[in-house]
Amino acid sequence: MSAAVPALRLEGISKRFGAVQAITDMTFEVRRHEVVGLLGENGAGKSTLLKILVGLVEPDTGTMYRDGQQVRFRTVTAAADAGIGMVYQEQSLVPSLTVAENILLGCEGHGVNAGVFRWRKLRELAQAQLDKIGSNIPVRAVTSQLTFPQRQMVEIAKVLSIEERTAFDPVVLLDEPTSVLDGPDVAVLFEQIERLRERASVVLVSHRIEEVMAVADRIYVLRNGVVAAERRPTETTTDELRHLMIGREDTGSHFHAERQADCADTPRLEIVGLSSAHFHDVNITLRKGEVVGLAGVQGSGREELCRAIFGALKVDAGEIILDGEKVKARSPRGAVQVGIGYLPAERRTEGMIGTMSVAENMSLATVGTVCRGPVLDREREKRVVDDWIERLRIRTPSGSVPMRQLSGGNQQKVVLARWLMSGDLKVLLLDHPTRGLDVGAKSEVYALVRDLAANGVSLLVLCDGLDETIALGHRVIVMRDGEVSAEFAAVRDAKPRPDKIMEHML
Amino acid sequence: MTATATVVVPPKQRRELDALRRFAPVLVLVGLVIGLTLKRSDFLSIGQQQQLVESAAPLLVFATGMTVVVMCGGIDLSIAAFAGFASLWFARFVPHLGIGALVAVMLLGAAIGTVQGVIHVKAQIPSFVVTLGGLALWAGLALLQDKPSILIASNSSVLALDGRLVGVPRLAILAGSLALVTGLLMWATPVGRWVRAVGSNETAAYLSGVPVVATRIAAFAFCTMCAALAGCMVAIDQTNGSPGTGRTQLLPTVAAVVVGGTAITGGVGGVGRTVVGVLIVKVLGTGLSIIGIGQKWENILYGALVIVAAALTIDGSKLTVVK
Repeated sequence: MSAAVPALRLEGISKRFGAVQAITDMTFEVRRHEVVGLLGENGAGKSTLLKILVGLVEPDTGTMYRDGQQVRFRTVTAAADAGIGMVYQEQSLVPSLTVAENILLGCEGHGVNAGVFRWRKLRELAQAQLDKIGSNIPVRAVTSQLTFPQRQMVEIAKVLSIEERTAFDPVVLLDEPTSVLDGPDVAVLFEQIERLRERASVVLVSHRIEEVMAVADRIYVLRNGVVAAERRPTETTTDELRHLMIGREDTGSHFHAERQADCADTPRLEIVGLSSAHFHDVNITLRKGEVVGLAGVQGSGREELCRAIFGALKVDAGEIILDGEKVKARSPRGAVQVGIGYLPAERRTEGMIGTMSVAENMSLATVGTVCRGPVLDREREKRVVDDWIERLRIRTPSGSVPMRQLSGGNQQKVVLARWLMSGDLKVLLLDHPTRGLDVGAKSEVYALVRDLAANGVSLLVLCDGLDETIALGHRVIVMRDGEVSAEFAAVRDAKPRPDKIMEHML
Repeated sequence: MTATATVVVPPKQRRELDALRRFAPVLVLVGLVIGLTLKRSDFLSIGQQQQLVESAAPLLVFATGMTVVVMCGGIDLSIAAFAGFASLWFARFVPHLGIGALVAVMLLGAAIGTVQGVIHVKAQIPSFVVTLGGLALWAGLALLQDKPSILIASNSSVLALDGRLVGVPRLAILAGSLALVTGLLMWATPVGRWVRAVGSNETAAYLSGVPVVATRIAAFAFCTMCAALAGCMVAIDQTNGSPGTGRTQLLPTVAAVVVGGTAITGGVGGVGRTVVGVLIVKVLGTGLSIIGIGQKWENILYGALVIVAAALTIDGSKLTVVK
């Protein structure tokens, strides 16, 4: 393992997406038959690194070596030809096909003759893949009838089929494979990883530090697009890894802590016993002018909770009370009418309408306020929109420019202004308000959050990083597996330590 | 955010292409008219124009309704079949209700359109499937009549609509007014924005509190109501209602909408563009007979037109998979 040429080596890799530097000058190595753990907060660069490894994204700079030879992956096929494959977090199997078909999908080889399936051969080939991982899943089974862990095994078998395409020992990337598994299934998966090690190298991405500690030979910790540390499990502790993930950066002035106003004691939004498929019996009260940071990993149910409060997701039980009155209309339109706003995390696909103008996007939710009777008052709209463009310093030639022509940060400000425009906004739910923004734009969003709170609006904020959550909130509430697992009050006077919060997230 | 945030302006070429796309239909129309006038000098004569406008009236009504549905990102294939069905009921109501028959049939259309819209939205069935079923349903129901067609008595008050007002066909005035009012509604009220928002990005519209469901259903109600009106107009023109009324109008309607520049994928377009599209389709039809190519070619031409125009107006960047 030591002197041999590594199976995969990346040197000086950088990748920039628009204003965001996702990865900076990263060097990363996977040795033969080694299990490498990859840790990092959301936005640390894990997914970009994986995408580069499987050929979904080409790096801007840097070189990649496969068994010592320089390579460049322009496509997923190119990466697969070099023996690199990924088991995706959201599974990529076709539910209506059989296991055999799924395993060989796209590379049927001898399973197809003159365009016609040779079923027996196809099943044999698929069985051979399943045998590699010692699985007894029937190849004739229809994929949609398998359990989630079974489907994951099928995915692993599928990825191993790249062995036949290449002379290299495969490198298998596992993206958050345990995030939806329970204890016993996790154990089975780890046995599988041990088995994989005999024929392949493995890169394991996970939120769960303990799990990575248990199976990895070596661990990389990523932070802000660089390798913050490289450790062996024997020479580190979970505490140290947690610290490395969060970093000790100065939470600095860009959070505008000086603008944080005291919040009143009056409750504004009360969430009482709210339950759905994604969370269970959640009770949270937001006070007037309070900013609450909601922390949690993927699958904790915090995104879904936001949507449910906004009426965009069905709830099974529970009530939402605004200023003492029960919110009856359970739809986004109903929520908007009582003064609840929601900023989705996916700006392009859920937040904005690219073909419509900046002004139209801004006034979409509160179009009634720029109408005279039933008729649009374009003069008034222009005045209001221009005012917000100036106040938020949105960089656009005018309000009539199509939204898609603005940069990401400016688009986000327009989508925020959509809610600020409404005079009677009471609650604003922000799902990753700073995702994809550069530092300057982030700082402006923080300032806006402070100002809104000072004006009595209550905010529930989901952030990528814990430093953001802690710096921004009056209070931090932690969710785990669909339930509130902890609450940290009076954040300003006694800042909770990120690692303490993380304990309740994982 | 000083240095990093810049306004991304599309390259000059792209902007020129956008402008060209936008004004291309008008240029095509002007070109066609000039060409046909050169070929036949009386093409611009009042008689010719009256004829053209008269024959364009039902198509404009069909296309106005269709424009709203297409801008929402849907399509209504049932309009032509429903127009036939509506014309029969119109002819049947006229002796009892007089001009009120027109209103009654339009209300019937709105109700039927609402049903089709509700099925499409609530059961999440693609609009082309629901309305394809509707097409067969209305065509079939129209044929269940015991008579092949129902005459409108020549002394009936509704036939007054067939005359001319200072030289302009009354039905054309009616169609033009409908298009104008619809265009104004789309421009001057929030409804137009909701339609475009739903057609461009339904999720973003929903998460902004736009009444997505109501907008979609209303679009289908309006479209079928227009189809009912168009059916009545043809019935008035031909002094009878029959299952075949408007039967051939589906393809020209879709052609008019997309040729005018409304994207078949929704979100982009307008009634004004459709007016131009209707004129192009009608002038082309007249042109065919002027150059001496028979009506046989009409369908071939419209078919090709729909495909080419749709390809030119689609915003390919928006789509990953086209179904």
